[in-house]
Amino acid sequence: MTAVAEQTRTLTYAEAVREALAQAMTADERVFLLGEDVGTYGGAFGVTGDLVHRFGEERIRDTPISELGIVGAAVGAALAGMRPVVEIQFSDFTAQAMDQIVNQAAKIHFMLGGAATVPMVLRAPTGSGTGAAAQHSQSLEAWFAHVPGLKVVMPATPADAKTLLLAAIEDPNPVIVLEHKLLYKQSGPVPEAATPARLGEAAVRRTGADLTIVATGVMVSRALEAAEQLATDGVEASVIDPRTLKPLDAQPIVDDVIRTGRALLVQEAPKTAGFMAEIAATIGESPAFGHLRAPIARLCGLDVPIPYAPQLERAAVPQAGDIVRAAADLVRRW
Amino acid sequence: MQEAPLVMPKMSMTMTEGTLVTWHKSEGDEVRAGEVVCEVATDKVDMEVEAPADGTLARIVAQPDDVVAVGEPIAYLTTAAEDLLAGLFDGPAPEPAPQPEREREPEPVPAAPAPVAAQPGPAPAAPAAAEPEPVPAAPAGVAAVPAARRAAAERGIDLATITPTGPAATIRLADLPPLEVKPRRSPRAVIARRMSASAQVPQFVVYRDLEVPAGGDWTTVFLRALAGALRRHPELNAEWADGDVRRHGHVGVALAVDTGRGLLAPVLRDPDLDDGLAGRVRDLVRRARAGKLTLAEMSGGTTTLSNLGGFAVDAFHALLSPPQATALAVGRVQEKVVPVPGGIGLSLRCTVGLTVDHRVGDGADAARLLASVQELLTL
Repeated sequence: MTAVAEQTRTLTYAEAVREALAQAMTADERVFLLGEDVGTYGGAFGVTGDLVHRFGEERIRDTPISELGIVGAAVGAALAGMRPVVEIQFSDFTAQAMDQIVNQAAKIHFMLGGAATVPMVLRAPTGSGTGAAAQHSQSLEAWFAHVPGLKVVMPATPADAKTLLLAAIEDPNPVIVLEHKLLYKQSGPVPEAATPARLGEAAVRRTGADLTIVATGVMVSRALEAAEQLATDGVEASVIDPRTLKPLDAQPIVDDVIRTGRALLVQEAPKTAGFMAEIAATIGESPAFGHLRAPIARLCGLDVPIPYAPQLERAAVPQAGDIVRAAADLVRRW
Repeated sequence: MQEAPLVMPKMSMTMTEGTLVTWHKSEGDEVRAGEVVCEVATDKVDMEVEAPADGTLARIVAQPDDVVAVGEPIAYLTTAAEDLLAGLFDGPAPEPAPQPEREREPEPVPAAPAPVAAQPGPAPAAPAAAEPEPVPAAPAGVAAVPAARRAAAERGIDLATITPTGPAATIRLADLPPLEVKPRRSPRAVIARRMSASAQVPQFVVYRDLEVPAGGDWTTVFLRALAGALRRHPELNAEWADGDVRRHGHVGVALAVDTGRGLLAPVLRDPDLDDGLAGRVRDLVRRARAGKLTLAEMSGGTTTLSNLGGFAVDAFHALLSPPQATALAVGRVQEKVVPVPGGIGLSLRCTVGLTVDHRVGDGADAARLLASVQELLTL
């Protein structure tokens, strides 16, 4: 067998998601989409685009404003053997559908002793930075990661947006895919092939000797930008993107912290009970503990609703400069 | 029991390989954690290598004069340490013996055999302690990062003796005393290796006759001026690495010291920022001659200062010490006859030679650096 170099093109994150949806629908006629404005309008963020023209209204189903009903319909369809992909316009609105997500989708497989599965995917734009204010800008990943029975994915690059979504659609269990709004227009290389990623595999995006930065979602690119800046000051940072919060691939993080002795955990979501608390505890419980030369540090969004005013919105979540300062401080003090 | 590799340690940032010098132990010998088992020569000095755990030196794979990459095994230990199954089938850990409740026991202890519990110190009567491994427990109440605790335990250091410099009076890893370096052998081999590497570097020398202020401690004066000038010209406070110029975040001046057994070059970090520099230099020179330098003091040089003025040398050409990109050779400071407006006068002068790695900088860069040295000397 000869290795064939993977063909990639440059696509935006939104195009990569659309390509994954199209390839999944082409490969498996059980796959269909449902959500508000996913049809003719092309999706609130333009992700579904022209899919309705390519696959028809049967498979790209516009729904009323009824999140609980949308997810309920998807759970039912999944139980009946379909592969529904739900789009919730803003991840904040999953609150409306929590009963179906948490008590139905996540539990049925267990409640029925494994006799049924719910192979559904829920995609939702997450995060702040678009001036959409408090009810449209939250980062709620920790809610879902906390629920047994749900898988949670946060793609940070166009390539991951495609390959992780393909993996989510293939997965026999409910998967929540949180796509960051600010990333939709970012471009990057995306593989042409419809090869899914593996859920539960972290990406080591950069390796450095002085500290380990763990970041999710849009914070991955900010952490990489910060790492470049830190390098000019002689501070070498690793950047690790868990990609899948659940199941979490902790080993690369633990291994890297053993090497660097310092961990800076960066998330957009507020600090209190956020997902990085889970990473911090995981490091603390691991063999990396004895190698820590500094307290595990978290750099998170403020514990406030995301403000509408652009300056305040920026100030409420970590920016690249904040990561530089926090990392430099960690290395300098310890 | 498992076989654990004893690897070539990385003792400095620039070290990529080391040369095995001599073994202090033979195959089959018992070793204790922290015990010196062999010596290796790094790119800077000779170092002792300690056993990472108790065990038996099972196999020696590197012989004297073998060059071994950092991280590669030089020997294997048979050890019970880090055995995943160790202790799995042991009974539950014994409850710590109850502390003597002296305060709640008013009646005097009968004069008869002194109760063990009344003795201060380690927990009394550890029942059937089969583990011979002495794990020095950190004293309660000492704040230290886990890595410092671990390193202290490995090296048998009592954390209570360490002065914390971290936030909230926490002992940082850097607060532990650096590993002692005893350069027992002549440094000749190290110098030979480093200077042979220097021959691979395209280097040139720029000379300048400098006006020197009156005073006595020329080494300190030049140290401060050189460091200050490099801080002004960060493009030369750099090294050539991986096809590019990489700047350093600090200025480290390696001071060439004639120790009687050969040249040693301990490093002064950021000497231009130090008000007590003269004292620091005297201390460093004294300890270099006494063979009492630590590895940390041998590391981090970004330039070298060599002063042969005391030997009545007028001017000379110092070789670079890779990967440093500059070296300043200081000759004799003496009064010279110089032209002054309307005649001739006397001026305190010194000819210096600045050697530069041509991959990092050009002649004009060197000239600018010397101009700054001159400016800082007469400031």
